Amino acid sequence: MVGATPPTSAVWLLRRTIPADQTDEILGDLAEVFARRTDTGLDGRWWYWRQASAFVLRYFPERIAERMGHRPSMYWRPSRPNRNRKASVMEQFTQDLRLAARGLLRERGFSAMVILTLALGIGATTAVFSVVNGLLLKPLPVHEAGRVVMVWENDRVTGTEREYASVPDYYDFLELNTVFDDMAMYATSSLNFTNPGLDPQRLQAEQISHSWDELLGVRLVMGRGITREEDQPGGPLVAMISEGLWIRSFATSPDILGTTITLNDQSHTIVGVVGKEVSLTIPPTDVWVPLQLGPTSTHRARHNVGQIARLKAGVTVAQAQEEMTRLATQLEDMYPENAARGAFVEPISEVMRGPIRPALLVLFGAVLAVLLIACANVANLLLARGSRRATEVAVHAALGATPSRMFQRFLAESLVLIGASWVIGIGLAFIGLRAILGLAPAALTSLGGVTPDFLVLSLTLGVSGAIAFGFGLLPAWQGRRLDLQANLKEGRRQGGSASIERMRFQRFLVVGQMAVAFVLLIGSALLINSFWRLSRVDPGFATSNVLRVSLLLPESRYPRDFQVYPRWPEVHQFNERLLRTLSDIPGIQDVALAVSHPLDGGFTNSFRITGRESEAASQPEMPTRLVSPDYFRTMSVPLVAGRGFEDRDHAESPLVMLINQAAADRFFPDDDAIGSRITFWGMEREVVGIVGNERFYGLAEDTPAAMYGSTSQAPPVGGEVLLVRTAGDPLLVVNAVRQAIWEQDADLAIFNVATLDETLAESLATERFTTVLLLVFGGVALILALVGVYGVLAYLVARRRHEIGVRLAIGASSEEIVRMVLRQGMVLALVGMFLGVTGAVALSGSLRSLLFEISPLDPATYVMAATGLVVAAGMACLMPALRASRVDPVEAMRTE
Amino acid sequence: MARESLGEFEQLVLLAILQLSDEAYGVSIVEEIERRTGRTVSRPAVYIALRRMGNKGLVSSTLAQPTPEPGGRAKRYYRVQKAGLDLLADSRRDLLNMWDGLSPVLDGR
Repeated sequence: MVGATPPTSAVWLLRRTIPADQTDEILGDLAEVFARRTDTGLDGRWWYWRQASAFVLRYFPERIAERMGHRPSMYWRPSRPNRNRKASVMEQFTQDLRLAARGLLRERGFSAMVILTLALGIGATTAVFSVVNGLLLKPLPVHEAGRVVMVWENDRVTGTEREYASVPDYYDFLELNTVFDDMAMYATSSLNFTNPGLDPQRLQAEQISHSWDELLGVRLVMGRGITREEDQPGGPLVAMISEGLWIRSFATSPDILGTTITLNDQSHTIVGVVGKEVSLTIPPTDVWVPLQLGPTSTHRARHNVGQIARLKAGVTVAQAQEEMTRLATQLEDMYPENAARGAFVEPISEVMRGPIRPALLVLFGAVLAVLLIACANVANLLLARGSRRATEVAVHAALGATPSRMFQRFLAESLVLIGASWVIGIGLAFIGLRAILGLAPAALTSLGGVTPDFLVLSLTLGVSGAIAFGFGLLPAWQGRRLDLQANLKEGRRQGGSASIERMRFQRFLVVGQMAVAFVLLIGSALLINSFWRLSRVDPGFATSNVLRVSLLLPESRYPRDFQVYPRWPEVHQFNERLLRTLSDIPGIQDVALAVSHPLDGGFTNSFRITGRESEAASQPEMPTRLVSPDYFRTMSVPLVAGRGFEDRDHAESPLVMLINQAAADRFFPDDDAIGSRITFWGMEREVVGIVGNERFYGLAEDTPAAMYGSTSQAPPVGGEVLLVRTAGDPLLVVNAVRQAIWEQDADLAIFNVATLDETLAESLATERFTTVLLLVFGGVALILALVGVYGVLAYLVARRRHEIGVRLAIGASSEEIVRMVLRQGMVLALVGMFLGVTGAVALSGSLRSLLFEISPLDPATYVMAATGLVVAAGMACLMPALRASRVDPVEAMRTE
Repeated sequence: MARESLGEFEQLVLLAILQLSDEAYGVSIVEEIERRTGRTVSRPAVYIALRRMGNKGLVSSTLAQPTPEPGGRAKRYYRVQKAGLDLLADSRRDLLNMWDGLSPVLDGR
C-alpha cells in the first residue's frame, strides 16, 4: 500500500499503551484495516483515532494493574466478584472517592467553605489575569512589535510630549534618519459612508501612507495594502476595510475586492480587508484610505500626522531617540516654524498600553492577594479538620490500615474537594470575566482580544490543587508515625507538642490573611474616597437633560474654500436652518452647535494678543472651542463679563471672540481683557466677553485658559456636535432630531447620539472600573480573612472545651471567658493589621497615579479602614467566644 | 473447586477462530464475529481475550512469514488448542442442557 499512513501520534500513543508482545500484531492489523478503509474512500484517520482511544481506554488500566503487581488476568474480569482476591487499585480508589464524597457531604459547612474559597480564588485570579494578559501581555497584532515605535514631536514651550508631526517634517525625518527600516504617516478621521437603501453611517477612518501595512506587518484577510502610486496626491481613490465592516455591511462577500464604496460622496475601490484583531485605535478603525500627501502638500506649521517607524534590526529605542533629537535640532535651525520642537520616540506597546497599565497592575496585585488569602484559608480549614481526625487516623492504623491505604483515603478526599472547586472556579472565571468586560470602559475593551487565559487557569488550578493536596494529605502523613495510645489520649485532652506546633502555624496564617486583607481594604477605601471626590467636581456646565448628536458635513456638498473663510454659505445655511427647525420642536428648550462636546477637549491653537506679540513665543496653545450663540445658555455656562455671541456676529461683521475666566486671569490680570484683540488662524478678533470656567479635559483636570469663536464667524471644518437641552428625558426627542437633520440633508451620517450624563459617566469609566473591582476584591479578602479568624478561634475553643469547663467550674464568670477568647482573636487581628499598615505604606506608591486629590497615605482613610477591620474581626471572634462561655462545666469534664 | 468456564465473548472468539480455520488473525476474527452476529465488536476486547486465552493455553498462535504483497507484514495466526475445544464443548453442553424443553416458550417470540 502506498500513500496514506496511520496518524503518527495515534501510533505513538498505541505503542505506549499496548504491551510489547502484542504491539506489532495489533499495529499491523490496524494498519491493514486503515489501508483498506482509505483505499475505498472511507475516512481512515478518524477511524484510527477512535480505535486508538478505545485501545488506550481498555489497556491503560491493565498496565497500571500490571505495574501494581496484580496478575493481569485478575484485572480483566472486574465484573466478576471474587471474594478470594483483593479489590484492584482502581476499584478501591473509586470506592474511596465515593466514601470521601459521602463524608464531605456530611460535613457540608466545612466542604462548602473549602470549595467556595478555592473556587473564588481560582475564578477571580483567572478572570483578572485574562484581562491583564489580553490587554498588557499578549503580543500586539503587529509584526515584531518590539521594533515598532511612534515618533512624536514635542514642544518645549508648552511642555507637551506627544504632538503630531507636520508632513514636511515627516519627509525630512524619512530622508535623513539612519535608524529606521521604514516610516509611515497616519491621521484619524471620520467618513460618511452612504450605502444605497440604508441610513448613512459614520465610519472611523485612518488615512495612511502607503508603507503603513507593510511597516506594521498587520494581517490582511484578503487583497493587498495601498500602493505607492495610490498614495500620490491626486492618485486613485482606494480603501482597505476592516474585517468587522466586511462582516457587518458586506456579509463577508468573497467578491468584495474591486467593488466600490461611497465615502464622503466619493467612490473608493476596495483593495483589501484588514484582520479584525488589528484595532490599534479607539474606537477601532473601519476603513483605511491613502493620505495622498507629498512633501509640499501641507504647511510645516500644521501638525496633523502621526508618525510610526520600524527600528532597524539591532537599533535600540534610545539610539533612535538620540538620532531623532539630533534631526529635530537640525530642522529647528532650518525652519522658524520648528522653533522649540523636538522629537520623542516611544515604543508602540507603551503608546497603546502605558495609560492602562497602572490600574491593571493594581487590580492584578489585588487579585493575587485574594488568591493568597484563599489558599491560607483552605490550608487552615484542612489543618483544623485534619487534627480533629488524628484519633480516627490512629485507630485505623491500629486496626491494620497500611500507610498507603490511609494515604489513598485522604487523597480521595482531597481529590473530591479539588475537583468540585475546580469546576466551580472555572465557572466563576468565565462569569467573572464577562462581568469585568461588561463593566470595563470602552478604552479597555476596544483594545481587543480578551479571552479566558488557559495558561493562568491551569496555573491557578495547579496552585490551589497543590494547597489542597498538601494540607489534605498532612494527617495521613502524620498518621504514619503516630503513637496510638498517645494520640487517643491527645484526641481527648487536646494537648501535645505536635498540635501546639500546628496551632502556631495556623495563627501565623491568620495574621498573614489579616495583613493582606487590610492592605486591600485600605486600597479600596482610598479609591472610593478618590472617586467620590472626583464625582463631586463641578464640571462648570449642566449635564442633565442634554442630548448630544454628532454630524459630519461632507466637503462635496459643503465646500471648504479657505480663501474665503469664514464665508461658507452652505455651512451657515445648513446650521441656521437646523437650529431654527429644532428650536420649534416641542420639548426642546435650547439648542446649540459646537465643534466638540463639552467633555471633549477638542483642539488647541497658538494665538497672539495684539500689542503683546513678543509674549507669544512663551505662551502655550489654548484650547479653542467654536460654538453657536446659544451654547452658553444651553450648557448653563455663565457670562461673567461683557456680552456673548449674538445674531449680529455673522461672517460679514467684525470678528469677535470670548475667553474664559481662566484665560482672563492668566493673560489679563489687570482686568483689561474686554476690548483687547487676539489673533488666531491668521484672523484678528475682538474679545467681547468673558465666560465661566467649564472643564475641558474631564473632571480630573483643572480648566485651562481657553477661547471661544462663533460658528457663524468660524464655521466648523466638517464635524460638529448638536447639543439639545430638553424639558424631560432627552432620549425622547432623538427621533425628532434625527428627522429634522435629514429634512435638511438626507445623506448626512448621524452618530454618537448620547446624553451628556452618559458622556460624563463614560468619562469616569476607567476610575469606576478600578474602584468597583478593587472594592469587590477588598470585600472578598475581608470576608475570607474573617472566615479564617473565625475558623481558627472556633477550633481553639473546641480544643479547649475541657480547660474552659474547669475554669468555669472553679468560678470564672462567662464574661471572663468571652473576654479571654476575644482577646486571643483580636491579638491576631491587630498584629495582622499592624503588618498590613506597614505593607500599605510600602505599596502606596503604586496607587498614587490612580488617585484624585487624595494622598495614598491619607490618615482618615487609614483610620476608617482600621475601624472597619476591628469591628468586623470583633464580630467574627464574638461567636466562638459566646460559644465558649456557654460550655457546661459538668459535661465538658465528663467527656474527659 | 469450581470448574473453569468460558465467558460469552470468549466463546465467540474461539468459535470465530474455528470457523476461519487457517485464516484466523486479529482482523479476520473481528470481521467473522461481526458478520455472523451483526454486532459491532470492540477490537481491544478481542486482543485482550486472545492474550488471556493464550496465557491459559486455550489458543496458540504462530507468526507467519510476511506476505509478498506491497506493505505485506507478518500476521499472527491463532488456533484453538485441546483445552479450548474442551471448554467450548463444556459450554455447549451446559447451554443445551439449560435450553432443553424451553423451545416452545421462545419460539413464539
